[in-house]
Amino acid sequence: MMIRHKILTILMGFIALVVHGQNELFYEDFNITRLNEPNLFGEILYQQTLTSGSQFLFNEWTKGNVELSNGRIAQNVDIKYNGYTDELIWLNPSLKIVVVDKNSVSGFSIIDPKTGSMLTFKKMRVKVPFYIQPTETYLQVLHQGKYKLYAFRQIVQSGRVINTEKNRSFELPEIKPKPLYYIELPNQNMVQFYKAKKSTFINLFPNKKNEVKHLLSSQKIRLKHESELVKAMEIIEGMEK
Amino acid sequence: MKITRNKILISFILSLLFCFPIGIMASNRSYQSVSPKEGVYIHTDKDIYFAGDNILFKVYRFNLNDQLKGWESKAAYLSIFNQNGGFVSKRELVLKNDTHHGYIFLPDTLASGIYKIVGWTNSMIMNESPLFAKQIVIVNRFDSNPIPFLAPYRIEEIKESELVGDSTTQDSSFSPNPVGLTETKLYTKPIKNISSADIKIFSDKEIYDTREKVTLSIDFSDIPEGIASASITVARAESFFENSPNLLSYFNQNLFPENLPIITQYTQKFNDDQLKKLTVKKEWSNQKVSRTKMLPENYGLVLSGRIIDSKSKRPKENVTVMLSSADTLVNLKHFSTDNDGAFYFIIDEFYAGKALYLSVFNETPDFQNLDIVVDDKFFSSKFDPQNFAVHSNLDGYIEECKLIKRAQKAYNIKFIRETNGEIEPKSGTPYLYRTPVVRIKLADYVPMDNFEDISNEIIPVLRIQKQKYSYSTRIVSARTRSLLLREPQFFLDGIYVPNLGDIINLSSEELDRIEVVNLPWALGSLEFSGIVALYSKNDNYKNLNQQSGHTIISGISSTNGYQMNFPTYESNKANDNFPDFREVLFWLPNIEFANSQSTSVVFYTSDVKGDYAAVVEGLTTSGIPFSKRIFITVK
Repeated sequence: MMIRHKILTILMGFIALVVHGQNELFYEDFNITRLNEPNLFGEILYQQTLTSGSQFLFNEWTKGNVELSNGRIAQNVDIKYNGYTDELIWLNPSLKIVVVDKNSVSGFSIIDPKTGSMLTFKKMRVKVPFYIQPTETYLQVLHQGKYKLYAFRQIVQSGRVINTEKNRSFELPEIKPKPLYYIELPNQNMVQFYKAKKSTFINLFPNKKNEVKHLLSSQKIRLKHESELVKAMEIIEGMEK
Repeated sequence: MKITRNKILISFILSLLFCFPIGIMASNRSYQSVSPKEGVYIHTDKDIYFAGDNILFKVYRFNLNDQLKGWESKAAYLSIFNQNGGFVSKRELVLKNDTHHGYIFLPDTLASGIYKIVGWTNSMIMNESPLFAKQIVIVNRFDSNPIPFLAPYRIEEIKESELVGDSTTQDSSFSPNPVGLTETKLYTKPIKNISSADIKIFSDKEIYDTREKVTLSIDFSDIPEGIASASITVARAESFFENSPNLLSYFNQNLFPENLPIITQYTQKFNDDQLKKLTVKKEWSNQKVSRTKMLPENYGLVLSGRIIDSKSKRPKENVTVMLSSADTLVNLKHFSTDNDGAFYFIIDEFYAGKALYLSVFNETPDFQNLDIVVDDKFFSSKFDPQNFAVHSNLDGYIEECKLIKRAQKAYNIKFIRETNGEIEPKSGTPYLYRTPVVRIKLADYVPMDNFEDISNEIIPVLRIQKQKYSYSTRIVSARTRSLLLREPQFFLDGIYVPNLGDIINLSSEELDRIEVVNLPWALGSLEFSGIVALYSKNDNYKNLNQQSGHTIISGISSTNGYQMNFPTYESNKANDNFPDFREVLFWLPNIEFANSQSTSVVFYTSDVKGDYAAVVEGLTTSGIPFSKRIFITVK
């Protein structure tokens, strides 16, 4: 059972890679598509803040597409999302680590190396904890429709740890993921929460409270996990139609 | 059972592993060794011009087969040259929806003569397709009449039998075009052709007074697929040649050339002689090599060339070439030359109408001894004119026009107004950065005489030190507060400047603002140890030239940027007091087709009496051409 599970996972990963391979046009041996592609740009990172725990959504470099604010798309580039700093990190052709200029990006998509699925992120101006003004933040799109569900894959400090290396001790921030969810209502108001309480969720639909309540219980959705939250949004969308 | 199932799965994955690289290659990479077969046609407002006129034109690009969709050219070229091959105009055109329209001013000093307009795309050359060519006549109003240069080529009349188009005729002294500008005379022999889309043109009257409103209706109810693009010209009948190509005939020539006699007067083949003019001689090996690889321009116009050592003339590999243009923001593209020293850039809409500045990245060793050689895409050749089927009143028309042109010059009457063009969002802008770390407005500070003083006084992160014959610069990182390893790069009005010495003397009075990105920065694979961008008040970038290490290429043609200024009379009484000596009553490069049945265009006649031809040309959405003409009279 374990072996089959692992085999299936590898298989899906390969399929995703095959499917995701970009279309390139070559004239004889000249890659014309590459000539037409926009360049990403940003600060070269030589040092990274040390932490205990991973700052990234996925530790490994993974292929993705970056949509720029000028409408162009940089395809099939090696990227990582840093949830600790809310930055998109790119491995450039010279193998330098670059923080992609956030002002130039309108969104990106990235392959989940474990499942092979494509995750889409959009840059939006939202209120985030500890900031007075709304800031531009990368949010993962979990559901699109009349109601939209987003997740801010933030990685936050949860404490401090003491590390010892070569007989020297130093303190490091301990970090862990703490996703923050946003629901965008049809009137473009944004509601944010860490964990969706059933009652809070139902109150988002004041005209249809009973219907929503009935649908959630009939589908046995308790909103304890993210997948249930996505499913609930899909059901609400279906109900609206 | 379990073991068997797992074995099957493993086998499947192993086989996939072998197929995977092949699968990627086959499904995701498209290899081509031929470019699409396509053609280009140029619709002009008339065929006979005077020096000082504007040629109003529209370029149509069309497919000659459907095999290579997605490879259609997004750029075309147009040149006008005289019988000796001397250029009058060279234009690089961005195609939008497979068309481009614009105007070309003919200088007043042009000599009377027969000229050729040639149009092509890169793909047409790569396929050795015949290029579009059309003869026009330009008259200088100070020349005597009858114009002697025309005499050997004038034909007053086309015989009916010649119009039918005997495909066996090989008479090179007169090669009739059987589909002239006569709406009834299509192919009369049952030969292969593309049938013309059936549109009808009607005028509300046949005879008009001067300064009277004309309404032309265009009925295309018999074309269910609709019109993709069409243009209309209304000009004096004498200003057209009866045997000038039209879109329909030209389309058929390209698709079915065997239908027609040799029509060398209308086509020009890009032959080996032409190719020799584009060679770069390898002096060090005494061999001639062709220009850089010609690429299909399906993403946009391709600017190409070579970097060569100025002494040895050898091509240089791995040299970073920088491309930028004047703008309110720093813009940059770069390319590392291949082993032939070649570089390529796609010039998209961002660069339309702008001069392009090429230079070598100053971190290249010995960059000052490298030359940038840009491929010349234009060619011309001497030609022997072919016959013109002229209007019987041509001489009278020319005499009349001489007086008209003098009056237009005296009153300074212009029918074309240059505009700033439509304001389009800057799509595809090749930014280098979006937000600087430091931004300084010079007006907020005490004026200083040069950039060295400005930097030392008000840009603490930038250090400039004068050395014997040059300057050394360093920048303090905004992140680490230590000096970055290499020197920063400088820009003036958005353009890359390899030598600080070319901008060091700019004073506070000349500069508007300075932006600094004092961080190690990457644009693609190119790295910067900081960026300093200067913006001047009065376009000081115009002082950049070859001495400053720049090769400047004039901007590619933008469709936007002009407006026709034809007078109207009923609603605008102010025009009543001005003379109206137009012999081109109307030109509309893009006829609007709002509903699915018909449309109309409205214009006013001028004070110039005579017979006028209204010619509509265009393509349907399925690529079928049409060319129709009617006549009206102004009395």
